[in-house]
Amino acid sequence: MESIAQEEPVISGKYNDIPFTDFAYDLKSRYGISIYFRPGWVEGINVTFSGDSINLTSLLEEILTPHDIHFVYRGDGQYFLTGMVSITDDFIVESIDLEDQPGKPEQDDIIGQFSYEKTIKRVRVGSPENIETGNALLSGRITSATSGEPVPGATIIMEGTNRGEISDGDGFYAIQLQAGEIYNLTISCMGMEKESYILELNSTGTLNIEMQEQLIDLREVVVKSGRHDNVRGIQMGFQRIDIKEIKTIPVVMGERDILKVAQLMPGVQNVGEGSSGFNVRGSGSDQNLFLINEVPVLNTGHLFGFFSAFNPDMISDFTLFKNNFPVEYGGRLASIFEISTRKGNKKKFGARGGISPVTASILAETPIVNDKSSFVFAGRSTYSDWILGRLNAPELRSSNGSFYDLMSSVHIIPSESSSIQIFGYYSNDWFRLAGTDRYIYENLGFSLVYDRKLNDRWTMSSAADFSRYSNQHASTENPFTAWQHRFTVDHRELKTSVTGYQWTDHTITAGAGVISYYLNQGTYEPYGSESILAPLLLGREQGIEMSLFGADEYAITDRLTLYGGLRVNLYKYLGPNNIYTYSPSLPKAPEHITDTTTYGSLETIENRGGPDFRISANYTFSPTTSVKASFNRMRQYLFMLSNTIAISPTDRWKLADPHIEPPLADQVSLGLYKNIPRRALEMSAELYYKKTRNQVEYRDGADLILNPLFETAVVQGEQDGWGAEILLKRNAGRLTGWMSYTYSRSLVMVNGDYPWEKINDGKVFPANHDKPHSFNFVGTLRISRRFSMSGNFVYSTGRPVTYPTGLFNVSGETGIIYSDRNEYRIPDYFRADLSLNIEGNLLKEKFAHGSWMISVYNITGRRNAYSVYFKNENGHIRGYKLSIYGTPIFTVSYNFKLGNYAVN
Amino acid sequence: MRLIKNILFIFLASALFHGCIDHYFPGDLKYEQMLFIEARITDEPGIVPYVSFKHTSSLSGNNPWEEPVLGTSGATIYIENSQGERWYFTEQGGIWPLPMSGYLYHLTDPDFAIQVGESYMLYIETQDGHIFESQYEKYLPSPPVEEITYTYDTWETDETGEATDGYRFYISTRAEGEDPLYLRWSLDATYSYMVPYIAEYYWTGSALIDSTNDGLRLCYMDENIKGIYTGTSEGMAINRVTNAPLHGVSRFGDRLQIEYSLHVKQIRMSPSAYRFWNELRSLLYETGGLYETVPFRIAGNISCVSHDDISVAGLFEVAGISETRIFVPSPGDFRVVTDRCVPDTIAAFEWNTLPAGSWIMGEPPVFVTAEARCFDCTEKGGYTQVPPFWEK
Repeated sequence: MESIAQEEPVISGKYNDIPFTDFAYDLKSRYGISIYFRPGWVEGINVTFSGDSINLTSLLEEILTPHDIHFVYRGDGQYFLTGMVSITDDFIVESIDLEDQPGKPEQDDIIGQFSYEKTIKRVRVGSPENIETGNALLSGRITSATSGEPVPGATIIMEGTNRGEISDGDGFYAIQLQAGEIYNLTISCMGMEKESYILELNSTGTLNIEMQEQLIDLREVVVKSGRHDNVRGIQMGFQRIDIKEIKTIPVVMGERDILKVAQLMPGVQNVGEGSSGFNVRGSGSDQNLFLINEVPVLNTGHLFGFFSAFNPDMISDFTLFKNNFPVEYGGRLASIFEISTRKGNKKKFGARGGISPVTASILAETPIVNDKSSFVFAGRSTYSDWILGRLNAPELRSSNGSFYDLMSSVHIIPSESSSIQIFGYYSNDWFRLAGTDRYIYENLGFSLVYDRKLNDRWTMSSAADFSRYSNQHASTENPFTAWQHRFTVDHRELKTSVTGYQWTDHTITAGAGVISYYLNQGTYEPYGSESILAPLLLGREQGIEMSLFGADEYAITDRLTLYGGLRVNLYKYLGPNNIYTYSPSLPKAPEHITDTTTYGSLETIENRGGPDFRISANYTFSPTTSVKASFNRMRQYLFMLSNTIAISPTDRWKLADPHIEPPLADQVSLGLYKNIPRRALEMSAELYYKKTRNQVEYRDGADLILNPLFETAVVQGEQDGWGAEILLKRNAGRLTGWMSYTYSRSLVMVNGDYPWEKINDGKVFPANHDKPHSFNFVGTLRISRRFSMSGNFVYSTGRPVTYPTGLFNVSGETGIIYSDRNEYRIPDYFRADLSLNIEGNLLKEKFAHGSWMISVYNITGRRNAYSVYFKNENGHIRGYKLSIYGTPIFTVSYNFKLGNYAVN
Repeated sequence: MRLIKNILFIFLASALFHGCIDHYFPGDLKYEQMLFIEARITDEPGIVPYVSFKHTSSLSGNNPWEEPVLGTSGATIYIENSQGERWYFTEQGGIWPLPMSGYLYHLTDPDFAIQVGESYMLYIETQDGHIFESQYEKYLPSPPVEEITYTYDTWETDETGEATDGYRFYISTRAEGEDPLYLRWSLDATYSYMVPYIAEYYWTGSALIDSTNDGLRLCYMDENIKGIYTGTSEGMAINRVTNAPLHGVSRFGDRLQIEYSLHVKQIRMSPSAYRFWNELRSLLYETGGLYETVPFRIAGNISCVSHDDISVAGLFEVAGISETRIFVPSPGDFRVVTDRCVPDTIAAFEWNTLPAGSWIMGEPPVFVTAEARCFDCTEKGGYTQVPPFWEK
């Protein structure tokens, strides 16, 4: 043992053959003494002693020396185990004052290369002669030492305090701390070596951090990004997943799919396998905002919705907000799903790719100017036609289709205090369903994001983006009535926000944004020379949504943090357009139009809007336990009209107008968060209640095909959602993963003044996606350095369904009378998947690294019901159950990348 | 290389989707009694306008006895035109299969004659004060069917993917005015067919007599064709329903063996009645699939205006009727596969071991026999008398 000359701690107590990790944890909780070590070193070491005022250093020598484990006492109650390497004072370098460089950090290795924590350094920010009074702001950027890419989602923790911070998408972080103190600073991120600093913070300053990419950890101790944020951060209803975390999860057809992984999170469900999109906390699938580098994506599905439209090679991480939405975001009621892509390697050329039974993908990245700018391009395409021709399901067998997507990004760091990202996205789907309906849809988007650190205290982030969703549908069943229809939804947005730490313990965010919506609802046109269909023009819509927002995160004490935000938005529905007036005592139908008002170009037809509130609080009982509460209000001006159970290609987007009020949702949540660091466990339990007004529902039997009057097809009501979500997550060790249980209800009531404004006679009914019980287990077992196994177990209550309750005869035909909407449920859902992941050799010096995934999806072959329906066959009513994946699906996929295993 | 290809194929093949459709009937379906009102006024000769009250039956066919949702005997029922003129219906006595009263009302007023272009509204008031009304439905005569065509096609016969091929029929009709056409077609067919064998003997059970089956070889069969067939000219550039699909006739079986006659009754109705039939068709024949729509309780165009709590569906159809018939000869471009007859050879001395009524052909020492349906077409349910409409 070597120690710096410091007063050594003494302890008292009685320990009887307890594991060393538990002993260390006990010391932390009783005396605040920190012992840093790698779990593998102390595996099998148990502690037995009793006594009062025992010198801990001596005790540790007694315990560890027989196992040839060394350690160093660094003072302030901190011990560092150094494995089998002995550390002497020679390796400890005193720090150097940089009085003439205030704000610039000074770094020295304190333990040097022999430590397992080889990056433990001592840094000083500001001069000790000019110690700032009160709080100082520490900020900087975290980047990869290998590629120069920003490291988003890295956790910066001040040990011994309740303070922590997470780096943003550009690797920026900022944290307020009491000046004149010494802190133990640790920075961790999955796939990166943990960095530790002894920080002497004298005044506001910058500390840029480079993290080394992790090669192979002896026992695969994975420190998940954001390990502590679930307790200390103000966020709740929040999930952040690094793409590296999901690479071993078994998936159907070998396609890594972030949306399918998101559906394994608590509170996230979908209506059936193979369906596009998902439902968050009982809300509709159109109430989720999908952003990829600020570009909104309206159709997130490829190939009927079986796969997501996001190439996983390009994705860095994704974040899902289910409530407590940051004030910068608005426009959707249920969730914000924010995807960040790779910024590109700024140090050397890199490439990666993969092949699965469905797709092949490739990604290439290169520096433009070393350490300053990079370019990355990714593409993915399918050969699904071959597969579709061999399917069992009749509808799919007579179908064909293909898709591809392209993404590209340029990331520039013009200076230490700013960054620019230019991003482009395009996805294309083409398919023919049952030989008669042809669909083409595209997502196109661009964004320009500029981040700038204005000064030591203020940062600014600005973005401009454009996206276009276009959808073309041709129906050719009868050549004489064949038609085609194309509609587009354009979204243009400008927004800017500043975040600052102007006052003690306050983090201020303020900004503004404007969105322009332009919907060309298109024209139904005759398709083919034989069609006699008369062209039907559906018209265009436009609207503008303006918002001003501001929020303050106020750390009242070390334990209590409050967040208050206000987002004021104004929505204008603009001309040119014709607005119809209907007879008030009759159903909205073409024959009941009594008047038409014509509005000119950009003339305001309707104003909507109001304040959206964001209020939350976090009380931290201990560094590992907190309770949080929040309230937020959201509004949505663009929504989808759908009369299908799952999202379908025929679904249409619509702006709120004088006939259809914008939906509005209030949500309150309460959560308890607990971490058990020694077990690498995170636990959380959240309760929520959500009330949605102006929920848009389809009328019974309504159809939008060849219908220009959308308001005749919909009714509006209220939706109540409530539930509980429990998550248990293990981030480190040989077995990692999570287990979640969700109880969730979503009930709708449409009870207008007139019979035609009601559904189910105004009675409450469950929403299509109301699935009360849901249990997910996702686990990865590390067998060796190169082999791992992963498994999923998924259970949920069957979704609601409408069944027949009686038959009647009309003109010799047997008709069906159905029950109230969604009165029954299809059978419960259960699925188990398994995968074996095999990494190539782990040589550090190699040209390329490959990995194989052998997976079996739905290993039990259970025929889960996608839908249950009834048909009249020769006068007899027969029931059928459709299963999408009726047998185990065996898949082998291969991925490669240039460089060794650790290349990020 | 070949081995690698084979391995790759096995991997890929095993990775295919295996979506499947199984027969399934939920065990927890409840039976909910509901009133269905069917009312029809047409210009079809000999058809009396009627209103019938029906109650739904359970899917299982085991109908528990329940009190009707409301008594319909003694109801006041009339139709009213846009001028306010009314014609009343009278209650009919119960006859099988409607043995109880209150189920059927006829309009027997000799003064009533349906008027082209006139709109009619149905009004029903039960003895206990429940009032049902339709909206005004306009009567327009049905134009003649312009054309019925048929082409060779393949289609699936059930959800599990069974397919067949044969003739698929299509219908076209052109409107005579500007009002869009809202049409439904009711189909029935008659076809002729022949048994393959010519008998020489007939075994009565006690005697073998010389007898041919000449009068029993050619038969005619009638059949009603199930299904809802609709079409509209709304939204078309010309006021014509063009090639609306009808049913399909498989080449397997006797239907296309000699001649097939399709009789089409064309029913022109109002938009609301058309919506009812379209919705019903969608609920009966277009369910399931990846993009399944939510089924719903069909309402029709009759509603209870006095009570919100009465669960009722109804159809008030004011219809013009026209009819046509076509004859389809046996196809020459594809083979018709009739029911298989398997001859059974017997020794001449064994004929007396056959069941009574057996037909026999051949000469001693070897006789040939077969199932009766191979000698006698009436065994399949047909009749030998030439139908009066059959083309010569």
